[in-house]
Parts: sequence; structure tokens; C-alpha cells
Amino acid sequence: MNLALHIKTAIWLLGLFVLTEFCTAQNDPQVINDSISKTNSDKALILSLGYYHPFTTESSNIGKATTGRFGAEVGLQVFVYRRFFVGAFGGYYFLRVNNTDLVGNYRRSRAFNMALDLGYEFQLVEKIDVGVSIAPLGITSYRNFIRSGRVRQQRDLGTTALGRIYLNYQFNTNFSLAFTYAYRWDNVSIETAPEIQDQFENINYHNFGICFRFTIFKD
Amino acid sequence: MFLGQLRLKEILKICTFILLSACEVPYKNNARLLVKGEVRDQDGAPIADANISVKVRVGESIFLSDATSTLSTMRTLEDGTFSTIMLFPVDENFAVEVDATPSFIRYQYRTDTRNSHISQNLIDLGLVTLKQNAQLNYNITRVSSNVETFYFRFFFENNACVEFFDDGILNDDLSSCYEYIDWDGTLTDESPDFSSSFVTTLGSEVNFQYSINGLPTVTQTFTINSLEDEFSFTY
Repeated sequence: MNLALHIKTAIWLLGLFVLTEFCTAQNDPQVINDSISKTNSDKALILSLGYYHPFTTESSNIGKATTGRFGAEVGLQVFVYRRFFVGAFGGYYFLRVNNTDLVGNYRRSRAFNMALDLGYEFQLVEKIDVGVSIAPLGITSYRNFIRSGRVRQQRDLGTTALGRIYLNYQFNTNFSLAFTYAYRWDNVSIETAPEIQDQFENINYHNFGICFRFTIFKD
Repeated sequence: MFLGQLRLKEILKICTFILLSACEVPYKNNARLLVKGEVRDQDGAPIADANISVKVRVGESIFLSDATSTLSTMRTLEDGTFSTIMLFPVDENFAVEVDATPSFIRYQYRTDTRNSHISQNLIDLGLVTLKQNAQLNYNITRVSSNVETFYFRFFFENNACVEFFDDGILNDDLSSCYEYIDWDGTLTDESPDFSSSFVTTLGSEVNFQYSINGLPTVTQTFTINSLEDEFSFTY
């Protein structure tokens, strides 16, 4: 089922890529100028939609017992000064529990996270930008789904922090595609017995994703 | 008419939801419970492969059916130990059941996770010692012709142990472990002989009391020495 979903996503992305390339090719001279001017502009507002694949690390029982399925994020970046930006993002990540002995009697989790980030983006070569950002303060909420019984959900709440790097390809002034990597620390501080407490403090991820970025305002 | 039916359905749905909501066993947020222990026999040998079940709503019923819900099951290891990590249920009738039947008795650890303080999110049963089950087959035969009524009663150790804990401290008033229970009957001319069996614990004492024709009761005491013991009595 996961494979089918990934194939569908890949086909969809490829189609979008071809379509955008086709449109870009028809306006090539203008696009190059726009691209250069965009990266040098002082102020811009960019909306991003991202698809991610989370890989949990084995730093905790939750990381050991779960497999990341996918995640989706919406973000907003405001370039406030030169290439520095502040942003906000939020999204959902989905995990499947493979070993209930390590985490408790639930089968899957849906993690919502939301944070503010600060970053810097610079042009590497023509049409290609590199960006880095950190989100030191955010919130996260894990909704754990129980298969049987009348109560089907339980929550783990906590804070999140994230460091991200991305490579962005500009198709035109309004649209770009970014390949991102992020390392995410979720501090959930689940209370449990002292002998296993250290296994329930954090949930850490390597997140790989593709992000569509739309410039909705440019000074 | 349709609107009336719709309303009735909605009302029924709401009533069912309210009823079920009242019976819910919620889980604590940001919490996991560790349940652990060790199971051994009377000689101190570890009992492997005993079934351990963590249950909620034990002894309750909903719509006249048993409401007990099992949250987690596991088996003891070779060394008799067990442990399980689970979501923390908030329930007045929480139980950990140790079941090594038919060889051993069934043990239940009961507590109230709603109102009791569960220290450090840990329920440690410690060492659980299970007595071995033993079956007593008995035969009662009439040999005398001048007996009209024969009353008998077996008084023996029950092969079950339920311990209640409040804030981690044993509540003797509610607990019942290896309590003596009785089994009696009256034999008459119509059915002068009787044979049956019951299960008690190995090494326990059994009191056999009888009364012939309403005369004072006589008591015999014996010990269960084997896993399948025999007792014969003639009157």
C-alpha cells in the first residue's frame, strides 16, 4: 500500500515537473531575469506545500517500535531582509507501530507539529538556491490510535525543534521545487517507570521531502 | 412520520453514546504504565509460559454481559519474569491476572488506577507464588442398612487468590487468597452412594464432616498429597 502511494506521488510530481518545464521553456528569457531578480529581492512571501517521509531514529522506544509512513506540511516564509526569512509551518506525520511491547497497546500514531522558523537562503547557481533554517520552538501532539475497546485514542503532547536544509530549483518567478532534509527532535516527556523513563523522553526523525513553493508576493 | 423515526434514531444514538461514554476507560495522556513481576511455584522454581493478562472493568457488566476488557497479554519467560509497557488506563477495576492453569492456581492482582496513587507509573507484582492444583476424587458408599440420612461436607482450600491493593498496600478486607470453601450434600435411601471430585491445592488440608441420621457431626482431616488424590468413605 505504501509503495503504491509513493508511486502515485512520484508520477504526480513528474507530471507537474514536465508541465512546469514546458511552460518555462516558452518564456525562457523572461524567466531567467525573473529568477535572478527574485533571489535578490528584499521582501517576498512564499507558501510551501511539502510531502515528507519520516524516518524515526532508535533513540527511544517509540523510535524503535514505529515506522514513519508519510507526512505533509504547509509552510509560510516571509523574506524580511535580504535573504533572511522567518516562517511558520505545520503538518501531520503518520507512524505505524510495529512493536506494541515497546510503546503500549496502540497500532498507529498521527503526529501534528507546528513551529516558527528562522532561516537564510542563498543562490548556489542560476535557478538553484540553498536554504537552511532552524525551528527551536514548536509544539507537537501525538494522537495514538487504539484498535480495540471503546476508547480509541490517547495523546502525547510535547515540544518540537527542527533543523532543515533544502535545495530549491526555481522554475519561474512564482514556482519552485525544493528537496529538503530535516532533523526533528520531539520532546514528549512521557511519564513512566524510572527504569524505562529514558526511552520515553524524545522521538527523533530524519525527514526527507519534496516541497512545492509558490511565491505569492514579491516586492 | 419519517421525521419522527429520524428523531427516534437520533435519540437512540445519543442515549447509546451517553451510556457507552459513561463506561469508557480512558487513558492518561503522556503516560505509560509498566507492569512487571515474577512467578514461581511453592518450591521456588520459576514458572515459565504462564499467561499474564492485564484487564480493565473486571467484574463489571454492560447490558447484562461481561464488560471485562483485556488490554495486554504476554507469557512469563524461562526465569518466570514478565513485564509489559502499556498505555495507562484509568479504571477502578484494573487487574493483572496470572494464569498457569491447569497445573497451578489462578492469581489476580487488583487495584484502582483511577483513585489509587500508582507510584512512578509502575505496578510491580513482585514475587507471585502459585500453589499447585490438585484434584480430589471421592467416593461415599453406604454399607449399613439402618442409615436413613447421611449429611456430608468437605471443607477445603479454594484454588484462587485475588489480592486488592490500595496505593500499593494490600487491602486484607477485600482480598481473598486460598480461602476455605465448602461442598456438601445429603444422601438418602434414594441415592445412598455418591462420587465426585473437586480441585483444591496440593499440600492443603481437607476437612470431611459427616452426620448420620442427624447425630452430632464427626470430622476427619487429611492432607492432599498428590496431584490426583483419592478419598473413600463408607457408612
